[in-house]
Amino acid sequence: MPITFNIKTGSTTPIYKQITDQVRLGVSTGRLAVGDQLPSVRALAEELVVNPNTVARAYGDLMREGLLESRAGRGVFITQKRKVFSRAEGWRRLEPLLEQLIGEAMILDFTREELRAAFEEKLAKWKQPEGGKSDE
Amino acid sequence: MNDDSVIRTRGLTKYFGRKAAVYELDLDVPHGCVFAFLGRNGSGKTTTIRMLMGLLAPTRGTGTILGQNIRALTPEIRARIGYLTEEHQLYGWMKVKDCGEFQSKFFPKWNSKIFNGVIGHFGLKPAARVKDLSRGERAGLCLALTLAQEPELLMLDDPGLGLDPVARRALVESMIYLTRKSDRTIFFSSHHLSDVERVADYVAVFDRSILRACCPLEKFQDSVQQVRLRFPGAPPALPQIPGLLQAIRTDNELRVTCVGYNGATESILRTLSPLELEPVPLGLEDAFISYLGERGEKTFILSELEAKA
Amino acid sequence: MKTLIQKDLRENLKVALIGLLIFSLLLMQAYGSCASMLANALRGNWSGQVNSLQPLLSQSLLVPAAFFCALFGAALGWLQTRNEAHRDLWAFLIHRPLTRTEIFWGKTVAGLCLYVFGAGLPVLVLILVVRQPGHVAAPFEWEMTVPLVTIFLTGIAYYFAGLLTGLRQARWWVSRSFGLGPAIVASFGTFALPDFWMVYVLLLIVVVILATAAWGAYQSGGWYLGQPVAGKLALIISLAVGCAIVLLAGVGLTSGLLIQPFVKTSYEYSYYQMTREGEVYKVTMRDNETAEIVDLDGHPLMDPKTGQRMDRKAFQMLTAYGGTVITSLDRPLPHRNLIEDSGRFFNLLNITDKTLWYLDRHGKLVGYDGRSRKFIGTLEGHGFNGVVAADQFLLHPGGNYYYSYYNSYTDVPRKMLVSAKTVYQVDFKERSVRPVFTLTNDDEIGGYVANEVATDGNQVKKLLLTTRRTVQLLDSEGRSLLELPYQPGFAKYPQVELTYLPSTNLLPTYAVWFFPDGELNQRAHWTMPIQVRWIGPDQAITKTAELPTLQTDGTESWSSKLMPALLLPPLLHMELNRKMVSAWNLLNYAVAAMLAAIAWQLVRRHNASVKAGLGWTLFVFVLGIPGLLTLLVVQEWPVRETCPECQKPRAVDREDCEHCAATFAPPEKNGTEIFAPLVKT
Repeated sequence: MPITFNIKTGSTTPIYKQITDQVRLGVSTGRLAVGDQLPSVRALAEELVVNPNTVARAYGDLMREGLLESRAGRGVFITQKRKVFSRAEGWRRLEPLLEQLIGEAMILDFTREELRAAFEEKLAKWKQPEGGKSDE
Repeated sequence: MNDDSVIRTRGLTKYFGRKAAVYELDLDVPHGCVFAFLGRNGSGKTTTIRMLMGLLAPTRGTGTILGQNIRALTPEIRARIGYLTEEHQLYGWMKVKDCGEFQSKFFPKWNSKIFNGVIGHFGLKPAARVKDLSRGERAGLCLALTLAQEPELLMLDDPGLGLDPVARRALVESMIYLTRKSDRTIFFSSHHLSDVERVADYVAVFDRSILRACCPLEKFQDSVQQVRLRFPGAPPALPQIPGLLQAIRTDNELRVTCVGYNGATESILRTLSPLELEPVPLGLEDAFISYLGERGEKTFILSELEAKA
Repeated sequence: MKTLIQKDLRENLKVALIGLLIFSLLLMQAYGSCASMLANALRGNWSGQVNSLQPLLSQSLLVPAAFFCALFGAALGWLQTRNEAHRDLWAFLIHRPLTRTEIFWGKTVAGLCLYVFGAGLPVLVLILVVRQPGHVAAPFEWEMTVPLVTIFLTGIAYYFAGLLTGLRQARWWVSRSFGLGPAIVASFGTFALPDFWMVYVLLLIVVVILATAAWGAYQSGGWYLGQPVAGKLALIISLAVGCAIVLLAGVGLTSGLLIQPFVKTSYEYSYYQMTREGEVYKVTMRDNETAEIVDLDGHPLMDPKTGQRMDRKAFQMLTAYGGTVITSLDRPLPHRNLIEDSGRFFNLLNITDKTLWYLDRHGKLVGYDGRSRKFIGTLEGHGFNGVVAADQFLLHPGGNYYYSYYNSYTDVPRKMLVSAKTVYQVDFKERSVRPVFTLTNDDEIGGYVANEVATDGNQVKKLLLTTRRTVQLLDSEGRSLLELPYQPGFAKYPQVELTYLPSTNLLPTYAVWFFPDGELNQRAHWTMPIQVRWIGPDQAITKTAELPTLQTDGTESWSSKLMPALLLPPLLHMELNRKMVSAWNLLNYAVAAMLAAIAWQLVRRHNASVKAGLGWTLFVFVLGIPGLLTLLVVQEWPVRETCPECQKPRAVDREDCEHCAATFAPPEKNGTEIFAPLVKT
């Protein structure tokens, strides 16, 4: 299995959202490729010890987003990735993470240059996702 | 209204002396779901379950379970309901396997594989005497006795009470196992919100004898919201806010938790002209605690003591 | 249900075993004390109840057994329920595909089996031991087991009472145990009812009522509401009896402690007594004062020595001896209740040479060897022959109870016994029976008494007997000393008293009293006089007199009328007072009506139907204070809240307000409600 889900209860993020987020992350980092199969609703529910309806809801959301497709009798697969978030939504999600990153770096006494260099270095290791950024 | 409600009550009320333990409860539990019944101790959960199980006569109101009047449950209906009581009481002199043997004689769909499976899961020895079992082990045995009946409707009154984390996980796994058959309904009360978060489709929340919330699980979590307001000095007095649950005041901060936070709520808060207004996401547990905690403005529980010292 | 029975048997076996142990010890102890009475009797220093020689009839066995069976039955029923009446264990029991009735029967069958095991087994063993020759030196008949078996059966009523008490929910804790009331009544009935069949009818009724009440409690988990009508009625009856007992005990205690010491109870009774001169005086006893002794004209008798009124002690010195016979011809056998029945089977007549001689209820004189405790044979008219005799001796007439006491001081080896035709001289030492007097005509002996009479300084044994037609006095050799016609007849005057009057000229004279039958006399409003005949030396009647009957005419004080009038239910008060309309009855009705009005108010105020209200009102009217107590104890009273619509208090267990028909408002909203449709997302 190309992805290991990690579910936390008591989080501010509901479980179905944790699942969708982790699938999205997997896709965006390339750990999940088009055509990869995900566990069935039942299997994932029992593996994660969560209500199958929760898994079904997460899968349903991902299907609506076009990230997953269900092939009758065979299972659930990653499909051709389409744009998931609007640009505005993307920024809304990215912003707090950036703030947290910069804040932590400042507390740890990194200079702006050091931070920039490290950021570039890390970024270089990620493969360019297909489609890339184009519009807006 | 849902016609395939497994449990339905209308105006169900129970008085103990002058106090209403359950007041005018209207509840519909749909078929085939996992329904969590939440509330603080003494808020009326157990009383409701006992009324639904025909063990306690309602003071007024009506109720049906699997379509039958709760005041006159027939043996046929009882055979279809598995009921796990709160205290996990059993006959102390029996051995674990005797308990299974005993129950199996009454329930037509008894499945000894499930029974043995669950007691194995809880590490119970069949030859152990019930009176020698720990609380958690007894709970496991009770659960085994209930699940092995293969009931259509499972009524679990605080099944996690007294269980250690490992046993509780076994409990949750058992509940998920049961949902394999889509016609099974699980109605359970609990204080373990992490378990609730894992298994519940819907939650109903009891607050001081009154049902205050009944909705899908995420809806509950979404509806309870907290905002943090930062002020240059001491925070000003709080105006009327609809659905206010709690306001916690610190030196220059005000944390407001309320139900149904929206634009209107925000504009009321803006009138206080805070330096910063920031929504704080809440986990289910925090949402629940705010929801059932003391209402209104308050300070941290022990800070008053500190001030005195 | 079989599984349930097995479970309950297993669960309560310990209780039954403990009961078995205690009861066995108890019976063994009682059996032992009976054996030691026999030993004392053989040593000649025992006088006491003859029953004690037969453990099955001995009070020292029956009374403890009655207590044990009651306690054991109640404890068994109570524990059987109580162990399981904890909330969740009860839920575990109830929540299974069985009807409550099946659960009830499961419990009951197991409980009764355990009761039979714990209490029945020792009884059975005791009966078998007693029956075995060589264990008990007294006659045995199967009927003798009836008292003990009845006591055993009474325990079943207690069992159901225990079951009911264990489960009943009541706000007032004491009232939970009121179900024991009917069982206590059954116990009293066992000992006090005149006939055994009545005991069984009562017991059956009590068991049915208590079992129904217990069954009803199982239907509703111990509450009154939610029971079937039969259960409710049975519960009401049970608790009414319980309330009545508590009330009676309470009144008894109050009057005993608070009222009695201050109220002077006035009682008065009079009787006639004859002096050796043949003069009749009327002695009247009043309270604790000295007796008043007056002659028939009402003049007080003066003491010639002191010149004062004579006191009773001095008067006793002047009175003549006498003997009383009750003619039992054509009379039904005495009642057969537990106490009397135990004395009815046999009398101990004599102990000679370690042999106990009993006159059994069939008129046979049977002997038991005190050492081997075995039957050795019967004595009959033609001598000792070791086989059961055909001839019947008359039982001692009148009051078996009196004769059931054996007095070792009167133990003489010779005794006169009488059959229907013949008077025998029985010699226990010689084991011989010799006829000394026989009626030659078609007459029949109806009663007799042997008297030791001091005439001229000699103790002489004389036998006074009555036949259908005559009253006769015989000496110990059967010679006739006096014979006179039984006039008036024994049907109306069954009691005959002969007074020995030592005359001055050495020839005996007598006075014969004929006392009217009490029941007939009462029906004749006490108009039947006592007939007295004085008999001269030539056996001719010298004088007759008719004395008015002296019935104790309960002249009660107002205080003894007031309490019953206030406290007794009209049904009982009327029965006691006989007359429908009397001042006391009217007061009693007024009290009952007031109580009934209170009941009506209470019931109507608390949301009962008109039908239930009327029922309760009638119930309280008929039963009075116990009825009202029962109402308070039985009913579960709903709380009342102020109706927001009409501001009047309304019962919370109604769907709408009884005054303005407003329904209950849904809970007030506080803005924190989160409701959303429950649909799968």
